[in-house]
Formats: sequence, structure tokens, C-alpha cells
Amino acid sequence: MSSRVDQLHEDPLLRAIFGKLHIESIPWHDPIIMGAGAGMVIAAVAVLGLTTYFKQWKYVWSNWLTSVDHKKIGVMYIILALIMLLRGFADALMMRAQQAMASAGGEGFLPPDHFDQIFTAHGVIMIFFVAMPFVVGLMNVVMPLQIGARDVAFPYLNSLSFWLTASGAILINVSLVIGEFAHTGWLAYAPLSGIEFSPGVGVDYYLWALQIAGLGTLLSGVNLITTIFKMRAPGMTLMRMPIFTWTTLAANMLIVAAFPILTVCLAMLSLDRYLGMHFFTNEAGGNAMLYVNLIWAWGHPEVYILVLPAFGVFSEVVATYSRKRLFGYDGMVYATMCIALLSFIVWLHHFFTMGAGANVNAFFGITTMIISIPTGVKVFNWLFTMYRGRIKLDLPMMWTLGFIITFVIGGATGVLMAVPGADFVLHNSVFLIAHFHNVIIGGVLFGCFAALNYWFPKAFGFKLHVGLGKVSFWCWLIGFYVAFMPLYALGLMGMTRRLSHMNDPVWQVYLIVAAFGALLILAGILANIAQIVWSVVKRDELRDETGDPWDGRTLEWATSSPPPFYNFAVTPAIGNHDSFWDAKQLGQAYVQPEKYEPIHMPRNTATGLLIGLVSVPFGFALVWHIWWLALLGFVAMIVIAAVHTFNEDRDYYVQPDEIKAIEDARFALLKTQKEA
Amino acid sequence: MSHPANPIEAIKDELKSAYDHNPNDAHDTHDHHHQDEETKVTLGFWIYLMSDCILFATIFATYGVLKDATAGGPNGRELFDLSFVAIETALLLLSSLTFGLSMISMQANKLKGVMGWLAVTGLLGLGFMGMELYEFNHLIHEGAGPDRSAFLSAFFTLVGTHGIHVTSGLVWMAIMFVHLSRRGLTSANRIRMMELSLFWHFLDIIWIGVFSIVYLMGAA
Amino acid sequence: MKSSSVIDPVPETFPAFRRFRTFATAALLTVAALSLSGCQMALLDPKGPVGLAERDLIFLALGLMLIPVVPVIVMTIAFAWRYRASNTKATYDPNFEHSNRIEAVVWAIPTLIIIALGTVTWISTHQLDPHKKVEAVAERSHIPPVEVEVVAMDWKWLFIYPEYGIATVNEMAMPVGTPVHFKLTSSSVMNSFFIPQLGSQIYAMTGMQTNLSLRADHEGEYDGISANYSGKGFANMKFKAKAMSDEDFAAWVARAKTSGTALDTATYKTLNQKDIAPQPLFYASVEPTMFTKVLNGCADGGLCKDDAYNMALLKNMDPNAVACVAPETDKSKSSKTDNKTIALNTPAQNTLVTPEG
Repeated sequence: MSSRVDQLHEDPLLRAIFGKLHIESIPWHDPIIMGAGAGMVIAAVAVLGLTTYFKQWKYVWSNWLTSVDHKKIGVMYIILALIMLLRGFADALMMRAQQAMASAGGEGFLPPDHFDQIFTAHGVIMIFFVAMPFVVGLMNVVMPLQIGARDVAFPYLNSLSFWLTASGAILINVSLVIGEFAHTGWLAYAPLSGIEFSPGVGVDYYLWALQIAGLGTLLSGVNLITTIFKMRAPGMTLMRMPIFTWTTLAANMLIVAAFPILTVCLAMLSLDRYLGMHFFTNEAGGNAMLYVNLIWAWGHPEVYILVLPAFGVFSEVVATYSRKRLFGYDGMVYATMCIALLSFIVWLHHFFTMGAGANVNAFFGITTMIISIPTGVKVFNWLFTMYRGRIKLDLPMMWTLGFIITFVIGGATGVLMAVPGADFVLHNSVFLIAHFHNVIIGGVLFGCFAALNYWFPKAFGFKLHVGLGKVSFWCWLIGFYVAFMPLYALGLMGMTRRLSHMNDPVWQVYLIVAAFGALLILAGILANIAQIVWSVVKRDELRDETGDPWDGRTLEWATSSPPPFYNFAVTPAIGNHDSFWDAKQLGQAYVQPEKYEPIHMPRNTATGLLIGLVSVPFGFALVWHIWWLALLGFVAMIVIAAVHTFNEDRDYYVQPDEIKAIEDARFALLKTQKEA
Repeated sequence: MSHPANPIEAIKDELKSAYDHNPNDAHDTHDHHHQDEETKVTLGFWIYLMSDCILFATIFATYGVLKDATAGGPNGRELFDLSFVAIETALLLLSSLTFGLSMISMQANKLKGVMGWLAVTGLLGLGFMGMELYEFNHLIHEGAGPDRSAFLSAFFTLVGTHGIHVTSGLVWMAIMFVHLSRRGLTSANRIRMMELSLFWHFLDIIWIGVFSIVYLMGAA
Repeated sequence: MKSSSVIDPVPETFPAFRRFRTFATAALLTVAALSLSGCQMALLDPKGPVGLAERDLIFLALGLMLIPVVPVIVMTIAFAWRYRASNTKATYDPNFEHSNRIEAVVWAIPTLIIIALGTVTWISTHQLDPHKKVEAVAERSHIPPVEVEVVAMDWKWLFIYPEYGIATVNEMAMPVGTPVHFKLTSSSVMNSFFIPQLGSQIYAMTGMQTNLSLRADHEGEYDGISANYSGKGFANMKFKAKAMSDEDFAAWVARAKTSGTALDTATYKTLNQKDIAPQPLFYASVEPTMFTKVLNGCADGGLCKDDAYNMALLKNMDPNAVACVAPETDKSKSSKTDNKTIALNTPAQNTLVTPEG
């Protein structure tokens, strides 16, 4: 496969027009890739065709594609994450199948070259295009509602952030069919990712997809922090913010502080590859250890960017379903900020085996362990929130209980590997793989699914089907243990990660069990899709017209489901972090005001979408050295952004009579609910 | 909107339109919440600048790690011409001063002063960039290009990243010029000038770091 | 637990830990033995003192972590059951959100465990430091350690025995009870040198030397791997580490000596091709400076990095002193010590991860 990327046009004109791109860049003879590519094309054509057939283009354009409404953008982030989850999970299934087949001396069905791309793509997609958009989507949908805001601070920037992320995802999927993806592992360690050892376009796809998506993430971080600091409802002091908002703040501070490091690190690798520089090369003074340090100086905070919002979700869920105030709110806040701060001084634990001195290793080992103190406090606080509660075992609470049990196991193996002496034998083994899937699936993904079930009725006005949700939960939970407990054992047997084939009949037994676990997880994913589809079909039966299906505690439940575009007709005043719960207790909820003030709202804009769309050919041109197109794309993006600054008609006021019509309808509906 | 017979359905239709609402159908405009807007934009811009600071810190750290990795090639002492860089630095520092004068004119509501000083700032910035490009060109022709050694890669990247920032500042100034000449000192333009000034002074501070750590310490 | 382990993460000054560790080890070994029946677990069946100390450390740390983990799991299930909505007999206190006593406890428990584990970490990390040289078993202390220079290549392992003047590929041997001091580097990308049953792994990186010291206490043939993904042939980058008696080791060396070929610049160049080595290879002789040359990127000819660096230094003192060109013939570098070479070559690189040098 690598040979196909080495083809170059002889003709200088063709080379100027097409760069390295060649008809042979498409792997025509690989049935797996061509099948997957055809599937993606058919799916895209089907979506476009159905939109055209049902004449929904105007609706899709004005309500989704050009929308600056944080709720719509958040939903689009989550849809992106769910689609990419299918792609990333297909990679996981192929890896599990390959290792199960090729562990007793066989070659399996994937040559190393293909297998290496698959594990790289799996890691990149799952972190950057599943976990990140899911978490950012949740923050977008929920956080402004929780603080009583009408949108984020910079709505147009928010749309741009989303479309840049989506463009990165598109670029990664293009690499499946045109050319190749990196075969370097998800962090593309130099010098393996350098031009000398990876001359193909795979690493370039990796670099530009991550740079484009990373820029989106960074802008989103700036946006959400400003929103939290400047747009809270009156009375909502910092220590009255819901915990999910706190974790959103912490995660976005981490984004703003950590993503520039990734940007620089990847940019320097690009300079090595494109301009022959020597940051990380083996020659001329390059230093590959620098790459490893920089990528992890971003990479470790990244873990907390993902898991802190998930902790926030669990905090909301556990208080709501225990029908009790969150235990130790202050402790939760301090623990969150402690974790955020500490996450910057532990990065070296990812490479204790690089030969640093004992003092350095011990220092980073101990700082890593210290993180488990605030994390432990959080776990205990969730437990004591359940204590003396009235626990309703709805889907979000089931995911939360599954999380606590799974996560403490992952935490224990994590602390174990934080001891350098233990890490000297466990490093890079499949024990490590089991550990981080233990915390990322058990922590981040379970958090996302808890959130999906918890906030879905808020976003769409109807609940998700419980029965199929339970099937999904049990398949995921049991599937996780079946898939990853064997990897812990294999790690202790000395199996290292990323092996395309091996020869040990004992290992094969464990790997077959693990592959079976992956199939269980597949069942969980399918049940989840079925749950969503079925709920959409049966939406009238699952309808929630109160806006508060779970007897919620925080502000997002005070408005209708789905909320009107302005979220709150009157900005609520806050006296506590469970303000809506308190209002309900005092009978102050659901009181319609006498009159309404005009509401200031942003207008839609296609600028974000356009820049995002242009960034795809821009990235593609850079990957394939099509310089004219890259230049054209770059100039186009600058011009679109500059032209946007001349658009002075960006906002408008919603008139009181329009608000009154909507709110009258809402209160009339609430009344019929109460009577029913 | 059609009006179904069932009142509940009518209510639901109304609520649906509240959710699937196209704000571009609305036509009325009012005075904006400028005070709110200014504090939001300024805070957001500060957060961006802080993240840019981390970006530069990372490149500075890289330079620190690689500054002795000359791979047998030339080092800073052989390459840097301090008096040349001193003039370059003076141009940029002076441009910060003239930007300050432009902001003073803005406080005094003098559009001509704002635009005049902005033009001077832009010219000084152009001069700075011209000198930087001349230095780069000179080094590359001497065989001390960014592909010669890790030290030179880090040098070109650090100074070049600052240069790219200055260039974007210049592009921004050009657009600002058009904004000012079209609409004058509107509140939107005042906010833009505020952020541009923050950006420009920020680049000045970064350059002081570059000048001290790369040139002064490198030539010593 | 074998007292022969020269490296012990917990010295005698921490008897409480020691007693706890014994308990934890026993408990966990029982669990492990029951559930996994047998000794297929390479890491739990170590054959040398480093691996043994690391296995005990794993048990100790795991045991400490189980102190909070088990109660948390029990509490999760118990609380969820006890306070289920349908159980109206359980106390319901919707405003119970704060208790100084509980909060003190929930901060104190993890803190105390981490203080304990942190202490263990500090001590064990210094004792298991890969730079630290493992001692020979007591009765063999008169026998000098074996020096082995290791080069990770795409995709195979080259072992140079400078004392014996031999080199091998994908097979190494060592006498039982004698420590082996490895010096490691790479001729291509980053790899990790790892013999799971003997303990610690360490990265092998181009232009840099890392150190590792291991000892095998039992005869046997152990799997050696690269534990850091290095490209297409990574899965084949395996070797055999053979621990044998002194006589067998001598015979093994003699066999290599009689195998014929010499490892010089030309053969090195051939060997260094991007390919796997399906069978072990033996070289009867090897250039004495081969490892230093690999470190300096000139084992297959060309200008050595340390020479380039020294020339640059000289040039700074007197610009006309030397012309900086590749040597036409191989220069002898035997007068230089390795350490000096590295110090000259990578001053910046060492500062990044090893501030204390």
C-alpha cells in the first residue's frame, strides 16, 4: 500500500496541478477500503438525496447549517461524535479480529501496513472526533442554559468552531479512500512520523486534520470561558454555578492552556516534513525526546479536558436521581480545580522508561498519585449524595453507577502505573491499553451516555426509550469487562501494544474473549442507535411537555423542552446552586411574568460554515502538495472572515409580543399538564 | 402558519416555531448592548492572547532546548548582527508608541488622528517585517537556512512565528483602515481598535523576549 | 519472597510496609493463582531480582489501592440498594449536603494512602533506577559483569559484546547470576528494549545512550521484545535472551567467534536495511568503536556528530583552524571514552528530561 503514495507525476505541469495526487493514490484493489469508502459515499448521497426529496434544504440551511444557536450547534457536535463513533468502532472491531486471528502464528486478514493505520485511526478518531465533539457538544447545549444565558458570548465563533471540527473529521475520512492514514500510533511519535520514516501522506492527513479541528477547539474554549465569566444570570456567583458548569469552565481553561502546545508541536513536525527542518529528526541536532515531551504536555491535560465534564455530568445526575442536594459542593469545586491544575505537572509519567533520573521519575510519579486525592474526594461525594437519598434508577443513574464501579478500578490500575518501578514493566503493554480504556470508556463515554439520556428530552422535547437504553447499558458494561479484563491479564503476560501478529496459543484464548467483548459493545452501540431511532418514531408517546421530566434542580429544567431560541423569556435570578429546585419547593417556579422586555439575539451567518468548508480543500491541498489550491483556500478563508467583519447587521431584538405569544403557549401547555 | 382546530396542537405549533426559529426573518434593529459587548470581546480577546502566550512559551522552550544543537553549523554569535536587530527592535517599539498615540486620538474622537497614527504604525510594522525578511534572506543565502540545524530551525520558527503575527496585525490594520474610513469611530470600530491595540502591544512584549533571549543572549 | 533480591523497594526501615506487602503479596498471589492457574504471567513469574522487585511493587501498590477501591464498590452497590426509591423505610434527608466529619474523612483517606504510596514510590524509584547497576549474587561477586551494547534497528536487535569482540542479532546470552550492563541506542526510530521476565524496559533512541542493568537468576530462554511501536516490522522485532551456566556461555561465545563474518562498516550497512531478521545472526568480530559510531550516526560512514560538534567548537575559537568535512577514512576513536562523547554530543538533550544529569 505504501508504494501507491510514492507514485509521482513525471510531467511538471501535472505535478503543479495535482501535486502528489495520482489516480493510483486510491487503493482500488483493497476490498475493505473500497467497501468502506463506497458505504460512506452512499450514506452521504442518501442524506443529501432525502433532504432534497423532502424539500428540506431551506429548513436545514437556516435552522442548522448556518445556525448560531448554541443548542443546535451542540446537537450537531454530538451527531458528529456519534457518526465518528461508528467509524472508530469499526476500526476497533478490525483490530480485535486481527489480533484474535493472528495470535497463534497466523497472519490474519490485515497486513501490518493496514493494521498500523487502523490502530492509529482508531485512537485519533476516538479522542479527537468522538470524545471531544461529544463533550464540547454537551457543554454547548447545556452550559448556557444552566447559567441562564441566551447564547454563548460569541455565537458566530461558535459556529466556526463546530465547522472547523467537522472539517477535520471530513479530512480524516477522506484519507481512508484517497491515499493513506498515518501508521505511527495516535500521537505520531517522532522520528517515526518524520519524513524519513513516514514518507507517505498519512502523517500529513493526521497533521492537518488535527490542526484544523484543534483550532476549532481552541476558539470554542475562548468562547465558553467568556460565556461563563460574563453571561451568568444575576445572583449566580461562581460558587452558585452548577457543577457541570464548573467542570466546563475547568475543561475549557485546560483547552486554552494546552491546545497551543499541540499546535506548536504539530506545526514543528510539519516544518520538519515540509521544509526539511530539524526539530525532531535524527540528523542535524534534532531531538525526538522534545516531541514526546511536548505532545504529552498537551496530551495529559487533554485527558482531563475529556473527563472533567463527564464528572460534571455525574454530579448533576447523581443529585437529581437521588433527589438530594449534591454532597460537598465546595469540595467538588476545589477538587475540580485541583485536578485541572495538577494535570499540567504529570506529563512525564507517560514515558518513565525514557531514562530520566530517579528524582525526576519519582517526582512525576508522586504528582500523578496526588491527582487521585481530589478524584477520590469526588467519588466519595457522589456516594454521600446517594446516602439518605431516594434513588430513582433511571438510565442516567444506571450509567453513573456503572461509571463509579468501573472508574475506581481504572483509577487503581492508573495509580499502579504511576509508580515508576511498576511502570517499567507495564509501560506500553496491553495492561496500559486496558487501563486507559477503563477510564475513558468507564469515565468519559459512560458520562456521555448518561448525559445523552439525561439531557435528550431537554434538547428535543421527548425522552429516550428506556428498554432499549437498558439493553445498550448492559451490553456496554458487560462488553467492556469482557473486552478489557483479558487485556489486563495479557499485559501481565508480557504482551505489548500494537502487535499485528504474534505466536502464542495461550494469548489467543484471551484475545478471542476480548474480541467477543468487542462484539458485545457493538450490540450496545446498535441498541443505542435503535433507542434513538425508536424514540424518534414513538416521540409522541415519549413526549415531555413540562420541560422538567426528571424533577431537575438546575436552571436548564426551568424552561420548555426544547427551549425557545431565546432560552429564557425573562432572565432568572439565582439564590443557590440548586436554584430551580428551590424555586419549585417555594412555589416560585412556573410564574408567568406580567410583561416581557425585548430580547437581544444574534442573527444566523454562513461565515462559519463557509470557512469550515473551504478548510477541507485547503487541508487536502497541503496534504498532497497542491500549492495553488492551498494558497487559494488560505486566501479564501481570510477574505471570508474579513468580509464578515463588514456585516454590521448581526443582531436584532425579539419583540415582547412575539415572546408573549410563545410564552402564553408554553404556560397554556403547562396548565393542561397540571390538569391532566 | 396553519391553524389546526385543536387548541393544544396550535400551542405546540407555536412552541415548535419557537424552537425552529430563523432569526434572519426578523428585521427590526435597535441600539446594541455595547457595554456588554465590549467587556465580552475584551475578556475573550485577553483569553486568546493568553493562549497565544502559551504558544510562544512553547516555542521559546523549544528554542532553549535546541539552541546549542548547531550540528557543526553556525551559532548565534556568528550569525547575529546586533546593530541591525537593534534598529528592527526600535521600529517595533516605536510602532507601539504610535499606536498609543492613535488610541489617544480615539479618546479625543479625532478620526484623522486615529487613522494617521494607525498609518504610521502600519508603516513602522512594514519596516520591521522588511528588515526581518531581509535578515532571513541573508541567512539563507549564507547557508544558514532553517534546514541547516536544529538551532536554526528553532530560530527561524520562533522569529518567524512572531513575524507571522506581525503580518496578521498589518492585515488587520489594513482592514481596520477600511472600517474607519467607511464608518468612522463607531462603537464597533472602537472595540476593534481596542483589541488591535492589545494585540500590537502583546507582539511588542513578545519581541522584547525574542530580542533578549535569542539575539542578546545568542550574540553574547 | 526471595531474599536474594538485591533491589528492594521497601528497605528494613519500613517494617510496616514490609509486613503489609507480605500480606498483600500472599493474598494477591492466591487470587492470581486461582484465577489464572499457572505461571503464564511473565511479569508475575520473574527470573531476576529487578523483575522480582517490580512484581512485589505491583502487588504492594495494588494492595494499597484496594483499601479504598473495595469499600467504594461495596458502598456504591449498598447505597444504591438501600436508598432505592421504593424503599420508603430508609431515611430520606434531601438537604443533607455537608458534614465536616465526612469531608475530613474523604480528604484524609486518599491523602494518607497517597502519602504511603508516595513514600514507596520515592524509595523504589531510586532503587530501581535503570542507571543503577545491579550487583552479582553474593557467591559470584568476584566475576565481573557482562557489558552488552544494544542497537535497535529496523526491525531487529543488534547485540555487541565488546569484551568478547562478538556481535549477534536477535539473540543474546548471559551467564546466570552475573549482572548484565546494557548500553542502548537506536539506528532508526524509538524502540523499547524489554525482557519481560527479567524486569525493567528502557527506550533505545537515536543519538542517545540509555542504560539498563539486569540479572537472570535462573537458566532459561526468555522472550525479548520491543515494547515501543516502530513501524511495519515491529511485530517481528523479537529476540531470545538466554540465561545459561558459565560453561554454556563460554561455548556460546566460542560459537559466535567461529561463525565467520565480521561486523564492519560494510556489513553494518547491509544489516541496517529496513527489514526483519527471521533467524539470529552471529558476527565473529566487531569494530571496537561500532557502538560509539552508531551513537554518532556514522556507523555506515559519513561525518560523526561528535566530530562535527568538536569542529564547530574549534571553529569558534579560530575560524581557520579546521575544515569541517567528512573523513575519508574511518577515524579511530578508541582514545575517547563513551561518556565524554555523549557529553559533547548531546548537552541540550540531556537537560530536558534529566535536570540532575
